[in-house]
Amino acid sequence: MAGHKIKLQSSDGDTFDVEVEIAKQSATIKTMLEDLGMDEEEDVIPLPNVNSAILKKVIQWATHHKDDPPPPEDDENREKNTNDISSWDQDFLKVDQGTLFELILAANYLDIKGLLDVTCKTVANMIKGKTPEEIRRTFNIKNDFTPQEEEQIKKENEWCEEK
Amino acid sequence: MKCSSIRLTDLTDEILMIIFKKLDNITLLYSLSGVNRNLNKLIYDFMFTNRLTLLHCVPIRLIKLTSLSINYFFPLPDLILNRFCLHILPEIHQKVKWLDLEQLSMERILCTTYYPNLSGIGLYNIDIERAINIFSDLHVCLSRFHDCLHLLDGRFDQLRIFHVKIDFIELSSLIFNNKEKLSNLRSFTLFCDDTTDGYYQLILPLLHRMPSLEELDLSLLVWTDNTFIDGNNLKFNIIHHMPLLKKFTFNIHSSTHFYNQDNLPSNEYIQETLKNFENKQIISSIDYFHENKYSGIFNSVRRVSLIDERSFEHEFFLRITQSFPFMEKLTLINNKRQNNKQFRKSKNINQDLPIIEYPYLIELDLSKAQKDYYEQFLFDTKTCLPNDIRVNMDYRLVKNVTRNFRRPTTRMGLVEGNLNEKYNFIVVSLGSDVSFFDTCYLFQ
Repeated sequence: MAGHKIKLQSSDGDTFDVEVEIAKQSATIKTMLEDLGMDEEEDVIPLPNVNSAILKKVIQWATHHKDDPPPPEDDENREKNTNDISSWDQDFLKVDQGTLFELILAANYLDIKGLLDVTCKTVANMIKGKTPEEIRRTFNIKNDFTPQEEEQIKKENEWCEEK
Repeated sequence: MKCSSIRLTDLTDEILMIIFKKLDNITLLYSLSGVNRNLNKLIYDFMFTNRLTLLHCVPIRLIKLTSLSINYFFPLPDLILNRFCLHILPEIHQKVKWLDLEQLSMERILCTTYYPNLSGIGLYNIDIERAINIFSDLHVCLSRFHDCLHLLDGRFDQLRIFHVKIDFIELSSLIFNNKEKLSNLRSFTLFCDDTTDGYYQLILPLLHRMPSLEELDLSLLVWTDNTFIDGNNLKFNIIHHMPLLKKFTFNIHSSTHFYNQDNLPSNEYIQETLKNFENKQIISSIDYFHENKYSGIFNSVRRVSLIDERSFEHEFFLRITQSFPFMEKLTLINNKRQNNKQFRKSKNINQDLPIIEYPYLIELDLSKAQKDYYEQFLFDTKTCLPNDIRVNMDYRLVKNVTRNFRRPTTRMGLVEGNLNEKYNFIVVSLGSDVSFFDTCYLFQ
């Protein structure tokens, strides 16, 4: 039903009016609507895992992609390509790392396949071509190997070099 | 918008795996191997390590104007290749099942480490002569003898050195009847620690296909219906077929029921047959075991094979455990029903037999034993086996004896779900409860 709206409530209490067809890009919301028969405009769907700022971004993304065809099924054998992100999505995802990861969490919780795909591809592109040290610096990851383990790796390398 | 403090490492493993699946295995391993423990655990998953395409593929249309859909293959950049050869491949070598390689980096990658589970290699832009040179030296571990015959069916006809360890050498492998000579083979090593009855029908015909052999190393446990494999046997059946042979190393343990105590050859006789061998020293020994005639305690014996045409009774097994108190592996080959069991049954004697314990046994092979011996070993009224023991059995017999795995006196109660009629043999880890059935191997 075009134009029909529902209310989505973020974890911090803000409410957003969203067209049903846009909200239904989230499989989680779609299931809620179908299972609970929530079709009154007054009904509010609580989303306790998504804060207001992230929900706003998610709605922005879903609104832009409302006419997209359904994303293809997962196929492990499909050629891996992370260079097919549209320029709109690239601009949309020019955010700090924390926001990007929150968008991933929200996309996963709301089960929005297209958003999860594009956000994960963006992180994959941030990983691509970097050395482990650059990865640690980029993502602020602590090296938690013990000195003994580090030594072991070094020894293995020496063994390889001798060969 | 306020900045969030969530980091990559705060994401669940499930989400990290979704991200990692967006990358090809080489890119992923190159960047994330060795970053931290959890990432290592995730990226060393079989999914990311079983197939590695260690080359750079460039479609020709990106290099010159053409509509052809062919590709050029280049080695990976030095930085990436070095990291794989020095760090990553030695870490994951056991998980690699398939390698895609190109000419320039192929040799370095193959020589970096060993790949015990490698089942295939894709070779791109390979000069055939070069490939043949690399695959002239093959060291493999195989499950069955026919896998060995497959490898020697002519596909590696430039093979010069072939070292093979085989789990089972069984007569069923006879269906492959290769006769092509392996004229380029100079060194052959065959190791099998399971008793084989295929010395004459399988092993000798294979050796006779190797006329140019210069080095031969055999380590075998042979069951034969004939005389022992002595020096004369080796000369006649092996050495005379290999005019170029310079070095022959062997450790052959032959068992037979051909002899009795009266016509058993002496060790001096065996040494005599080995007298003209050029090797410096050959050790031989002969033991005669008979159900009624031997005695003694052999503390150092770990592997026992019991093979006879007469039946083995419960009392015999009791004496075996007393004679070989530290036995770890027991193989039973016997087709005769147990007499005493029949006698007790016919006289309705409900005699309590002592329960026989095998405290150190870790492997039991009943696959060539008559049904009574399944009862002998699986009934807890007769035998007490340690937990987590590997038992090799015939599926149909064990199903029958355990009444479809439901007989209460047997220890097979809950294993049925893991088995299937199509398998002839099963190997299970026996335990006192279901938790020990978590290891179940099936052999077709």
